[in-house]
Amino acid sequence: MSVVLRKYAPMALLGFLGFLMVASYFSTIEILGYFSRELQNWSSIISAIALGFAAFILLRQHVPRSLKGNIYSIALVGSMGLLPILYLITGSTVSFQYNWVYQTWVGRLDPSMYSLVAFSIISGLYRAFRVRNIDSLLLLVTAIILLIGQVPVGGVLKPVVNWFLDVLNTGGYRGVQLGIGIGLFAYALRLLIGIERTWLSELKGE
Amino acid sequence: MKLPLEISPETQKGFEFLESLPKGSVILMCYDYSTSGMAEIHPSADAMVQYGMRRGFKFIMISTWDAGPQLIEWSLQDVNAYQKMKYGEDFVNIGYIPGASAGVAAFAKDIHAFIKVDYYGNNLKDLPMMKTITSAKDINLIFHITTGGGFTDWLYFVQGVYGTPMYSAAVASMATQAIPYFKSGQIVGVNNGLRGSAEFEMLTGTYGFGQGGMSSQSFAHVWAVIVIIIGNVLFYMSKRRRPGND
Repeated sequence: MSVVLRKYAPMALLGFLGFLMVASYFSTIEILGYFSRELQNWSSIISAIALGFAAFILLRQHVPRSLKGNIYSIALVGSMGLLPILYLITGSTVSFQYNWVYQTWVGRLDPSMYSLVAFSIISGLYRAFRVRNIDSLLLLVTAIILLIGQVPVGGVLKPVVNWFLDVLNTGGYRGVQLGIGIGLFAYALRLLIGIERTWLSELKGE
Repeated sequence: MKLPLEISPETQKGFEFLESLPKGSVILMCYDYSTSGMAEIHPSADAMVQYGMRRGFKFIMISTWDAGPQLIEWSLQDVNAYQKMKYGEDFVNIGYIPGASAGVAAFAKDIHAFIKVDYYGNNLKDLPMMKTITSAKDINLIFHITTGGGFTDWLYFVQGVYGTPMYSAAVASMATQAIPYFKSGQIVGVNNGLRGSAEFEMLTGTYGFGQGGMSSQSFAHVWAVIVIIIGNVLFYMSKRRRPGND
């Protein structure tokens, strides 16, 4: 495939569509609004296809392994197939059977797995908040105030917690978000005008 | 065990905004979370729907997470929505919309161009409620329930573009990102994790897992502090036994 098709055509298409979207945001020209709506709709369609494709890739990995007897792959393929099979049998994702399986299996197992994180957090706290210097002492005091102040037993600390969230957290977060915003804007501009080419595949001789 | 709970300013201000909404206001309920985070924020969703039913609000249920539609169904069953409200007139379940930020932007711009059918396969234009709701401009509040995903999508592409008021019910780790936007006035209220859900339940006059879970959370946090203190005591005792070996 020629360099024009593999390199310059995608860059030109990206630049054209990107600037079209930017122009539609700032203008009231009807045709621009129509094109931006259609592009957004197609973007959602591609995302939906990607979701299905991801499931296909996962099955392609794990079905051969499950046929060889790998119990984890068997569990994965079996659980991936259970709810679609239920849907095909009952004809609905709001049937009693479908909801029962989801709420009693997925709805219990998923939070249980997530709750196990609490144990690893507690063991991490044991090590992470050791006071070695003034910085770690400040971190420790802040953590204790926030942990106790956020629950009813620490009601007397609530004004301090509010101050931490309203002043320290807000100020720090706004600084980080400003930096992220400027960085994203610069990256987007580089993509649109063709300076950033890492998304293109490598070409021979380049 | 009910423990005394002081209402946070972000929850109080959010509830005051809800109280100012007239009957018939359209609330977009965004269920952008999965079952792993539902212990903290699902009570907020249930409390909002129960409160809205009493106030005569209309609901559009939606999700940008693939696990969302089942949680929408779960929430509707929790509050007996199908018995207390009329589908199509009082609430509509659109289900999952793909595309993340692009999907949110397309939805907000023109709902009927983006979504043709609801979650149950009904033609959206045939539902009485949806005849007058065509874009984000016709929505009075976005009630966004999230474990992290989708927050900036709705904030940047809907609240920022159309000015639609937004209320965030987020897990505690995510709420720290929502509070700066509350301070700047871009969000009308924040339910901060399980405590925020409990406060919201108190304000809306419902009793659910939010308030019920506060005693467990209190115990867990106190235990975490005890573990930290024990860790430091043991650390210093071991340092004193082995001086110079830091």
